Amino acid sequence: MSVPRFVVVGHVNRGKSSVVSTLAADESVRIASDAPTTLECRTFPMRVNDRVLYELIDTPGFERPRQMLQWLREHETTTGQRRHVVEQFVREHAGDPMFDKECKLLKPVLEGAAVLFVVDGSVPFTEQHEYEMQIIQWTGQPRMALINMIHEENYIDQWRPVLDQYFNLVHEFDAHEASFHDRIRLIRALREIHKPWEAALNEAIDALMTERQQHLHDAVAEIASMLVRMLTLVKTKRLSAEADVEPHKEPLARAYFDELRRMEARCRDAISTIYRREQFQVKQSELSAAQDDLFSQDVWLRFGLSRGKLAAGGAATGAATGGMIDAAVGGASFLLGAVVGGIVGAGVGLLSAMSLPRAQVVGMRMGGKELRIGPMRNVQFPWIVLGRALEHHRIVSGAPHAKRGSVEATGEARSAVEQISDEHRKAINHAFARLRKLPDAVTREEIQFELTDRLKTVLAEQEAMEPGAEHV
Amino acid sequence: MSIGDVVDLEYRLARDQWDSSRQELNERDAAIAAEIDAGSLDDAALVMRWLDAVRAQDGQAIGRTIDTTIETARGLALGGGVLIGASIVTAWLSIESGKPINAIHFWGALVGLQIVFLLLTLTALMLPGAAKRVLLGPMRALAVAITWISSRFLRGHREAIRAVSGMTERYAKLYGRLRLWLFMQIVQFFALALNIGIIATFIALAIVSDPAFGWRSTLLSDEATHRATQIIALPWAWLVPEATLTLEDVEATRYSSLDATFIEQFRSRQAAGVWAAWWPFLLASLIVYGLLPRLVLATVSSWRLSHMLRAMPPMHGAVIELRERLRRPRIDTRGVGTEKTSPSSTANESRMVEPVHAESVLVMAWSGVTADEPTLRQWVASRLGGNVAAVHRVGGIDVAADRAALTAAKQASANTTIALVVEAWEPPVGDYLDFLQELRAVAGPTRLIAILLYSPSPVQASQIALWRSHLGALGDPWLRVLSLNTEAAA
Repeated sequence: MSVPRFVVVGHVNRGKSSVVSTLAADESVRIASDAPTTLECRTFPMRVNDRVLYELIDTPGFERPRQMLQWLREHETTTGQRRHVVEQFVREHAGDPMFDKECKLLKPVLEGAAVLFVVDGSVPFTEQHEYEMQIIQWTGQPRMALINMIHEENYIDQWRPVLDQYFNLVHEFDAHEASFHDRIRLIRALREIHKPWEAALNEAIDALMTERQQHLHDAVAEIASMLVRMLTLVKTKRLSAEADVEPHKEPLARAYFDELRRMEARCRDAISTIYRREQFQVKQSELSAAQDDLFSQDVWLRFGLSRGKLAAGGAATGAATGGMIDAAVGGASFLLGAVVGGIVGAGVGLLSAMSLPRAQVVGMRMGGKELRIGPMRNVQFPWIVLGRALEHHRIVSGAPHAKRGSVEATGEARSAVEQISDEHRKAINHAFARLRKLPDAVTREEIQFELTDRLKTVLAEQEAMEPGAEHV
Repeated sequence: MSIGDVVDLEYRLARDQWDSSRQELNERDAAIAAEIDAGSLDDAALVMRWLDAVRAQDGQAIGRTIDTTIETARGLALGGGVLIGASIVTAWLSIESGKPINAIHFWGALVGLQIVFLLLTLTALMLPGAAKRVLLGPMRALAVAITWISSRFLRGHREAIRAVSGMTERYAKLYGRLRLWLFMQIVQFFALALNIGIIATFIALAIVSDPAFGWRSTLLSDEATHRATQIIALPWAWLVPEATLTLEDVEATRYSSLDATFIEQFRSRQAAGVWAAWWPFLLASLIVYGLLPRLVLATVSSWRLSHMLRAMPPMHGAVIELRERLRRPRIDTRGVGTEKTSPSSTANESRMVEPVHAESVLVMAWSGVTADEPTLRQWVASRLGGNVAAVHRVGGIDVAADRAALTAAKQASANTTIALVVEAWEPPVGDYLDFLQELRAVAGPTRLIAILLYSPSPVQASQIALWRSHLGALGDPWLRVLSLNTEAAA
């Protein structure tokens, strides 16, 4: 069976490359709204274990559709012979610079590829586009029209009736806003235009879903790794017994917070690489060391946990400890231990959420002293870091590859961590608590894998709730 | 898998974790998976083949060094054991003191001590964690010492050795038993060789010389000593009764250094061969309590070691991650090659912005400009001034309309400006440019042609710039690109 091939054609500068970039998840496709950028056909094979399941072919677009159609009409004999006339045109104009682009884009079509005809639904339909549609119709190949939306204006109502006449299927696909689910839906739709390709496309869809899971796994593994490293970070400076520690405190604290920031930056870079979005910038304010910045009401709301949930986390831990006392006295305390433990835990949770680590002096066995900062005991800190990471991940993983430039990550009205279910939040909180005790390397690794699994489930559940996911 | 393979695996996993990004690992392992046909291999073979591939890539052979070191240690244990055993027995039996060799001392040193060590080893193996750690403490110290020494001598591999040392500490839970049984095997090899050396030398000396064994004790009676030898000889007495001692033998070989007739007694009894009664018993003791248990322990430790190595690698987190990476379908949707970039031109662009004040205008509306004729007349007049002489529709499929417009352009008076109205959102494709060139050809080289960009919504600056950039490449000084009055259009 032949490999399904789809030639993306259309008017110059109408978003063909954007569609290809998003469908192929390839940032290397040049996109510019103000100039025709594609000069040559370029193939985007969808490969699974080196086996090609389908191919997209980006094309420069028609340069002289009017003159070509005039030529075709002049040479037309019968309707049944139209395809042969197109073949004759390509044969006769091969090497002619005037119709170079027409020949290049029609060659794969005449070799059996289907056509994805891209139009811009944000500009009015004009007669010029109809020339191209007629030429494609003359080839007799399976074809689908894609309505891309480059600008805000909407002329879809003008386009629909015309496109319905020329194409087997018409699909709306905003290459600059399409989610992963939209991408999958489009590939599903492609199955309809040529049934023999259905099996290969089904396989491709399964592979893309698997790849999505792989990316998700890799991304949360990076986030988990970052959290483990951040929460167990300790910086020390050895000093002589007589040394004045005060001048060393501030530089050590600065180095500590700089390291935290570097860890976050590395994680973000890694996630961008996983989703192949190195050129797409997510602008997020720096992780601030300043108490007021990091723990302002605004930052708490956008990235962290609410005070109620933080207190609940502390209360649960305190109650569990108190419960052990109740059990030890055989219940004679009438659960007073659990109640008191819960109240104390909640209070401690809130209080510890307000403080950041400071450099402290620790004695050394061999004389002298050590200045040490870390680990981070603040219970809100990992939630803010996780909230920021999830926000960054949401933007990077959700933005189609045709979307370029940068996006401001300002958080949402309800932070990403606030949306995590109670069950997952408790498990994550427990992992954070274990990390704060600076466990050995093997235990850290175990916690990291637990966190990875947990976050993967959380994100998979959140992704399943996204609009459109249910139809995929 | 050998121990060197395990070390290599952990060393590289640790290095991956610190030195490479996840994407780099994904790409490297995707290539390896393709090379080794990952889908056809079971987990152990998969990891092993991956390891071979990575070793071939980085050329580091720390694992091979470790394997060689272990083989050397085994060889040294075997050779050293034989040599030490032979030396002890030779030294002991060659002393010509004029007295018989005290069999109790000989048995106690060469058999009794071994029984004590054997019992300690077995107890250590059966004890729970904490107690076992205390008893196996020396083994850990030895491992640290070996690491330290190897890092001094194998300078090229110093970092690797330290990494391995760190790894074995980190993964003590996983590899602790492997380390234990490796140490056990080497120790048992040494003990086995020691016994072989002792026994072989003992037999050889018994053949070529005539060692005389007796016993003496202040506290033990002849009967008690005989009972003790009977108990000791229980394992072989039924099979080799010659290797047991009778009460008479025990009585006859007893001597005392305080006995005045000792020398005479010794010489006469030696002549009678009585003093040789002990050596079969001692030989059997060495075989049963020395050689055989060590043979069993050496076999068991070798079997346990190979069994554990067959079960390698352990599926801990990093290995599972590696396996998942190798088993992943390799999916790639990216394009082949790179794109050619289009050259941009700004030649003569500056002339295109100059204002136009026309006396008379011939309007040509490109196909797609939907505004009706009166509207177009109004817009063009308000944008360029002057009188609109005629409006032609061009760019349609009917070439006759184009011909008519071109004829009108040719016949137009010298002071007539030609205005070509086009859709601002469309780039100047070949069809436009060809028509424009035809227009220039018929209108003359100095006729002012104004390209007026039309849009139902305000014309964007980027659209004007695109047209100016493209048409600037034509090098036509009498070409202007302007937006049509967008307010009027709206």
